Amino acid sequence: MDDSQLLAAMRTGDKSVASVFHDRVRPQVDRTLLRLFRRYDVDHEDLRQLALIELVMTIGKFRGECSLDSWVGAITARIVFKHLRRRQAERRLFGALEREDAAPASGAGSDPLVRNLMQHATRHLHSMEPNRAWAFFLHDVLGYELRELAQIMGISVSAAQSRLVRGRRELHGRFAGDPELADLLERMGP
Amino acid sequence: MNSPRYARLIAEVFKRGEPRSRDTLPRSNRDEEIALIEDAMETLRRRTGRLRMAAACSVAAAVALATFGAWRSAHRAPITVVALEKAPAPKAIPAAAEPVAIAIASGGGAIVAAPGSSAPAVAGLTLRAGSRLIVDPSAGATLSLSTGTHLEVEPGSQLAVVEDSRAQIFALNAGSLRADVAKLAKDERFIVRTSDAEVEVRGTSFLVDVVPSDPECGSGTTTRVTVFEGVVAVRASGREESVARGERWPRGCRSSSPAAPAAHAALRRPSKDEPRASAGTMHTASSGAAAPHATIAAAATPAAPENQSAETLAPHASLPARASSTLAEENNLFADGMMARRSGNVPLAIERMERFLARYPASHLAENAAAERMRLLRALDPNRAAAAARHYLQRYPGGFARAEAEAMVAGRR
Repeated sequence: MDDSQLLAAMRTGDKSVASVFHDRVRPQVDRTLLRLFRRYDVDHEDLRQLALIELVMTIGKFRGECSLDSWVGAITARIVFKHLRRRQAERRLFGALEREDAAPASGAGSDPLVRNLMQHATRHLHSMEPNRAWAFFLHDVLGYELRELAQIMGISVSAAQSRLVRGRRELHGRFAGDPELADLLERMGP
Repeated sequence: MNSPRYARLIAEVFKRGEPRSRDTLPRSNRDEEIALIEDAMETLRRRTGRLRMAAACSVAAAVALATFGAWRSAHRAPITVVALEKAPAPKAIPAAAEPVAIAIASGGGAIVAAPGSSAPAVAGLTLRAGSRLIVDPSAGATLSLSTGTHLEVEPGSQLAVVEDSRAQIFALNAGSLRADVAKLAKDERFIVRTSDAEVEVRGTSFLVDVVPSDPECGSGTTTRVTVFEGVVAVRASGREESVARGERWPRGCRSSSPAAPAAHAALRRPSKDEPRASAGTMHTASSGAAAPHATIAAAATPAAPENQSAETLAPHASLPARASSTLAEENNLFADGMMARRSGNVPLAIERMERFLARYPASHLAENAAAERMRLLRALDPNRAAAAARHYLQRYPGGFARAEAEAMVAGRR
């Protein structure tokens, strides 16, 4: 059964495809949660179930403008965003960044100096206005497109762009205000 | 404005860190999740059914109305007679549709200027949206609103009525205004705009003053807030602060304008016996006119409405104060130690790491330094190495070098 047949069956309410739908979308839901939290989060199971329900409830709105995986990823990210926001814990994602960096990792993360720089940068993300920090993190770090960003945050594309621009500007200002940090970033940046 | 170069650079640095895909997900109950999906499908089916039913009912009602309309137009005269005979008494327009009446209670030498006309402010004269009250410098004026709110406009003030509906909005262009605001209904708002702030009452009591700018106080803001009851969220320059009962904003400033004590004394909550139950008392003073740049919302809880996020204030959002860090020193000292280790000078490397730990115990590099010290000591002095390992475990029980440290402690035993 290909994606279009699966979606058509789901839209008609055919419960016999529930298991196929589960097996098709669940890996992508898990991948998105791991991508966002960068590790197995304590709320992973709850968020996965919320995402599965949301996927079923909004399947009628999926028009096929993107791949099923992209859509599943965006819906899952939106669930995470709403969940953290409801609990006023938006900054947990940035905490995940910091935790990852504190652990031994391969590549750039294994250089303690780079790690130190990243931890300082994470601290700035923590203290930024959460919506702007989220826009920056989702778009510039995780690579979500503006359209997906808007979908995740439940706002228009132009509002998402505005948050992103302001987030970048604020982060830049914070680095510019700390000459030593800026210098280190200049030296270590690409 | 510089392009946000540092934001781009730090995004690249973040991107280099790879997500930890080593985390294995615990096995979940597949059957349970499939049942969940089936339940969601059933809920969706029922919801869709209800929506279809509602749509069908709407269509049927529309058809019935259209049929009735057509029939009525064909039999207009008899219906009109019957309707006139049996028509109930006309209902009063719901309060929500009525504009709030704003009447002059006492005018002194004030003038009411409406678009295209002006008249002395005599008692009983009504002000509508667009009217402006210009108060004589030698006498004040009092306004009574049909909602029970009373406004005392100080001598020499200029007050404009912006809206007189469920949202009662006034613009204080100059002078002072004391407001005893009656309890607001759920959809009612009472707002006073000044030259650089907007003050909204939502069931608390506070004082707002507009005073000359003081560079040593609150970055030069001209607004002062004193809270008497509840909690007030003050948003200015992209920041939000909660000001609780008995506190003032900005913090650490000298007392506000000379008018404040008098206004403070005038502030009181009417007793329960008084006819109007005042939900908030507000005193506002203003001079000059400028573009608003701050919003002050008062509420029983400090939570700010989402649609008034910091972004609405973004043009004035300030960057954090320029702060230098010890980052370079930390990095240099740590790098010195690492260089000594690479060049084989273990005692010097240990000395550097110990100095680092003594000087920057809270640094992000402290864990690395503690781990390095432990490793360096292993070859030189096993006893000290074990002590260092114990110290590491005590300080970082879940640290990345935990296994090594535990092995060192166990090895000594």
